Amino acid sequence: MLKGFLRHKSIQPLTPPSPTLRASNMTSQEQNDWQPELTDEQILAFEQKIKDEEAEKIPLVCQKESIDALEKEFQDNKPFLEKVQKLKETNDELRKCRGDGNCFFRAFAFAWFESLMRNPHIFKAGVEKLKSTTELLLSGGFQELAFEDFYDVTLNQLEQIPDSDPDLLLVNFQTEEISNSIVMHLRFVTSAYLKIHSAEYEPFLIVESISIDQFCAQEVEAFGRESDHLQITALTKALDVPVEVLYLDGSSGDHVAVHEFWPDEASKGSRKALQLIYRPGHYDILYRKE
Amino acid sequence: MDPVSRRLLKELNDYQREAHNHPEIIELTPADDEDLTHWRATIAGLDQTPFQGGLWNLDVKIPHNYPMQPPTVKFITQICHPNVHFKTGEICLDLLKTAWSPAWTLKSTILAISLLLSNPEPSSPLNCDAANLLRCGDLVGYESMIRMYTQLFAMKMTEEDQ
Repeated sequence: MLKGFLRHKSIQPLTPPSPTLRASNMTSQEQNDWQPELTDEQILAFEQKIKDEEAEKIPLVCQKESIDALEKEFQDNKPFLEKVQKLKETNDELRKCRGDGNCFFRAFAFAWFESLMRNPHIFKAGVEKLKSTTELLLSGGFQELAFEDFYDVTLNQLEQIPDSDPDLLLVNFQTEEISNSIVMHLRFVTSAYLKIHSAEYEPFLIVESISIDQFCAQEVEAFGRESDHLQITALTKALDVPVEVLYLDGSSGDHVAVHEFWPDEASKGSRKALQLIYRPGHYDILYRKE
Repeated sequence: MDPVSRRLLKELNDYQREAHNHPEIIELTPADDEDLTHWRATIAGLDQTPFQGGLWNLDVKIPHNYPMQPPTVKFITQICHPNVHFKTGEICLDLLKTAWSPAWTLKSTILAISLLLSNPEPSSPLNCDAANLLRCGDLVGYESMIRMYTQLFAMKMTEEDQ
């Protein structure tokens, strides 16, 4: 009991002794029991290092590329490969996003902005919807001070769309300050929507036995935290933007499972949903064959 | 101006405008005018708690990607509390680590630390002696120890006054 108590993560020396040094004068039983212990700071710093290394590899949002890239990625993985080959019948391109934990929000934002650029008739409604999010955030309990900078950047980027072009949009989404502000605003919007509709969504959290407020702080608002069904559902409803997520996994069969997120059942099928492709742990943007 | 400085200036204005609403924060300000990423704060122990009458200085360091990442806050004035390291002043509070949300501000962070004083979490201690007293239910012993250290470390000003 006492041993367990003393082993608590927070009371360790800053630098754990090297395992090899310690192991030399321990019995084999002790060696099995002994684990290097890290402080919270060390664990966070380590996670950050992994993320930073990942960040070096690819831009926040990449150029479009042929879906053949997926084929190449999974050439040695039969269940995945079969699905990719089937997918090629309907989709021909994809756009990768950096795997920094924000990929869902970034992919969503880019695909949404891009769709507003391609379809001027829905642009105005998109801007109005984004403007309405300040009300949503205030009713969700957010302080204006905490969200206004992110909101301003997001609105500014959206309003530029009619005078902009796809290349500039991409450049802006590759600029950390702009791109991360947009991610942050969408995270706050998602969180506010979940909090306001907590009665509907709290039941989904019973398994994890945390409140909606805890969930929102730790899983939604926290920068770099990965997203799942709940976040996608909330964001598509909050912004009235339908999304289809195509799940590429190792299950049997050659069809990717499509999860549809429609803001409301009535509008289902009446407009085109953004398409994202999901591989375990990561979202990218997918394009239909024209 | 870079976005972090812009945000911090807004926070400073907001705090100064609302300071009267938060009597437990005595001071919250950049440590010097040149560097907005280093702040200091002073909090007062709340009445009706064993921390009553004490004043603690805190050191606040703001990362370059604030508010995506939390500030690093530690006690400068020594304090005896289950979740604060007795020697280094390190604070064990989930919001400063894993539960940080960019919706927090420096003010709400300092308020949370002030709240932590009277709401210790003995199951994740940085000060095992203080935590153990609570864990075995010795509230009288715990409170008198806190009072003693509050008097020793956090009431220096009144001693000088006397």
